[in-house]
Amino acid sequence: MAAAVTVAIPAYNGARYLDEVLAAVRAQRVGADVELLVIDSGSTDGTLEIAAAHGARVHSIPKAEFSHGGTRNLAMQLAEGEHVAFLTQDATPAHDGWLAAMLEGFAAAEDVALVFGPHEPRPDASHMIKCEMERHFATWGGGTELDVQRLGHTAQEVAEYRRFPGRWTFFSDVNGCVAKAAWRDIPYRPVAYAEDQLLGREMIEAGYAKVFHPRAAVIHSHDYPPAQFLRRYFDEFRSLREVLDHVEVAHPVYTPLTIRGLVGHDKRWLQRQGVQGRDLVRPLAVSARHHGIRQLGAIVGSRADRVPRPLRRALSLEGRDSFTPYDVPESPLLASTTQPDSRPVRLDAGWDYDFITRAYPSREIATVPHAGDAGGPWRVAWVVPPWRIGSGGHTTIFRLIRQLELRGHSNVIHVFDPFGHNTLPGSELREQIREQFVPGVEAEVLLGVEDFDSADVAMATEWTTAFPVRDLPNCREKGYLVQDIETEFFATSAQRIWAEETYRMGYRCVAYTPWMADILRDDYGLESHWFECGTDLDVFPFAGEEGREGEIIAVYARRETPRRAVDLAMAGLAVLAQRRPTIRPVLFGSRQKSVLPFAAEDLGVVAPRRLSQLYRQASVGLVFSLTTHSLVAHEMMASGLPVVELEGDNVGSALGASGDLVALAEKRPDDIADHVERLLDDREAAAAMARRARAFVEERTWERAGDQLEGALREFLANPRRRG
Amino acid sequence: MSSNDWEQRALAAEAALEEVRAERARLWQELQRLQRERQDVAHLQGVVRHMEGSVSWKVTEPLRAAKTLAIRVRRQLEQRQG
Repeated sequence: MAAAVTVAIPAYNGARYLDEVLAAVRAQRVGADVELLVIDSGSTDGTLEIAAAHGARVHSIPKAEFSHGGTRNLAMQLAEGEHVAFLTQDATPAHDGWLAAMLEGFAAAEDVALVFGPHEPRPDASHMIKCEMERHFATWGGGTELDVQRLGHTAQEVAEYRRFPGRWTFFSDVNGCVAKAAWRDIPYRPVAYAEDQLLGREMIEAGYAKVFHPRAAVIHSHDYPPAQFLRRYFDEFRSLREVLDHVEVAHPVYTPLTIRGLVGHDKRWLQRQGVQGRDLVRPLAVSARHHGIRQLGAIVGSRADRVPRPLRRALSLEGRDSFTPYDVPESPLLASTTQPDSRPVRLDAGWDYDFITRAYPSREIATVPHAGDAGGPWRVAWVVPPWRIGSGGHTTIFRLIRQLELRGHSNVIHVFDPFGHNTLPGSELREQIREQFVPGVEAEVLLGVEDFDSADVAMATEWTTAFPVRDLPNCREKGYLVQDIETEFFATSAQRIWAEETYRMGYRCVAYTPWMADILRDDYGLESHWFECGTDLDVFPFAGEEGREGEIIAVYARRETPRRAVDLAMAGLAVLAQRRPTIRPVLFGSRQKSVLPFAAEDLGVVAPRRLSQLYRQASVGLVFSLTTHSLVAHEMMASGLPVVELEGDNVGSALGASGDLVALAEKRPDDIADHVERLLDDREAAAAMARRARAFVEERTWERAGDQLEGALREFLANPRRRG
Repeated sequence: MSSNDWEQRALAAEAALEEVRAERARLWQELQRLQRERQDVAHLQGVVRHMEGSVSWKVTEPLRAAKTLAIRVRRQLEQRQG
């Protein structure tokens, strides 16, 4: 009957410990047949006889054919077992449950390819070796718990892997077991050294799991006199360079710090063993010498290509003078660059557009079925982007929320902030809304949508928010408050594609202005209701002609918003300034500094009350809108200030023909200059237009806007969304 | 049973339904408040962690230790005198 598990040991003149090792293997208590396989490469010290005495199957190869990777591949081929536990000739299983623990590791998950266990130092090992082994194996499960390692694929997990790959890749075939099924997929590389590290890396990167089992322990350590340690480390690090291209850091500051850190570890370990005070001096001096030698061996060994051949031989414990780099495939996950002049980028799970990555494939808007009960009070969840004080769009949202509150509905505001603009907690944001935007708002403010619970209606308010709102659970209905056609905010770009995508999701919309509602209905086939904003008549009281100064022109010059066509306004004013050098333009609304070809003042971003004062002082207001018309125009109209806007359906559909409520100029500097000049010259006509404009604004109250919104939401709830 | 009874019962049921809806909205708002407070606590814990991990906090640690010691010594002296 074929053995279920094979214990394989490559041997060469290993008589010193082999008898002990094989006896310990034979003593294993495991519920399976165990095959003992020794691959000997020309021993002359009685190794073969010891192996035979323990009933091992011996396979002999010429010494020249030995390589750590190649010989273990041979062992895998020869082994009868489906699991092959590798030991070295000086690694003795620590107890009779070693092999059972190895096999238990494979039972931890279906995809386990490798199991390894800790090395316990031999009693005569130095404190440096004991400390190093304890610290090394504590990496996995604290050294005491079974630990399954599997490589994740999120940005955070890959970043962690790149920071400390050894946590995942470490595998030692001094004491490790390989599943034959996985090995058939990924065999050992036929390299002279570090074959186990390569196998561990390739297995883990291929998606296999690896297990550390604390009970699968062997007794194994090396101790040498200082000079031999130097030569051993030279050999080890030369091989690491040959196979893994590892180069040990040599730095006047970092290298001594590394040595100091290692001595510090030894000190703490000794203290835990009860060594205190003066008794620490001698062992720590030995530690310092050991780690100094180790670093020297590592630095020189990993630069062995630069060491003259005779010196290489002298430094090598193996007596090898060669330096032969092995061509092994580089890890794509650990590679930092493919181009010599490229820089690595930061890996971050918090990528700004991660919400887009998760938003596809496209799916239907998630709602729960309901019977069309529109009875209140409703629970309305608003998902909004972060704001800056003074944001007009947010002012409108918060005013609408307040209107719903005054009608008895409960609201919550979720701030969706994928770009990390917000730094304040929800309580402070809530205070900000009440103090800087709309007094009295009661809605709680939550950061993100992770704490979202449920709602009668969830409202998206901007293109980025439409993605998370689509997937929110436990909502009877979902709506999209569309204040402007956001695709027009972006040039041809990814953002434009995504913004447009939100209009194709099938939302039920509440749009600012009938013009916007028509676009959503006609171009995107969406159910679309509309509302019109009110104006705060207390802040913007009407003022007649008295008190207005002849040549002051109030100009909404928000340069940060291209749809305000600020440069077109400036061009018009430049033409006008040449005709009438006495004009006094006063710009406001921007944090950017202006350089202009005419004299002007710039207020920057100022409070509404300061603007109100300006509107009552000025003779003409200039506000341009290339998409939905600006509420700044409404505020000027409320203040009795004659306004010049740009002509177009977006403005004309709301404000009528030129001269009715506002003057509409063509999108040309000379025509803009003409319209402003006409209003400056014909004050009687300007004042009459301003009075009509005030009456228009007075009709459009926030209460009316609240009614329009409430009506739309009632419509949503009374007529459940059609599915499928 | 008269139609008047049915109407009364329907009106009572509607009133009860409205009460339930109002209570649900109130509880929902309470839930939002608790979630906001939980988020605030997490935020403030983060602020404290950040502050205590800062170099300036660590650099001034001896000053705070000295102050604590001074207060303790003064109290003990006051107790002895008192």
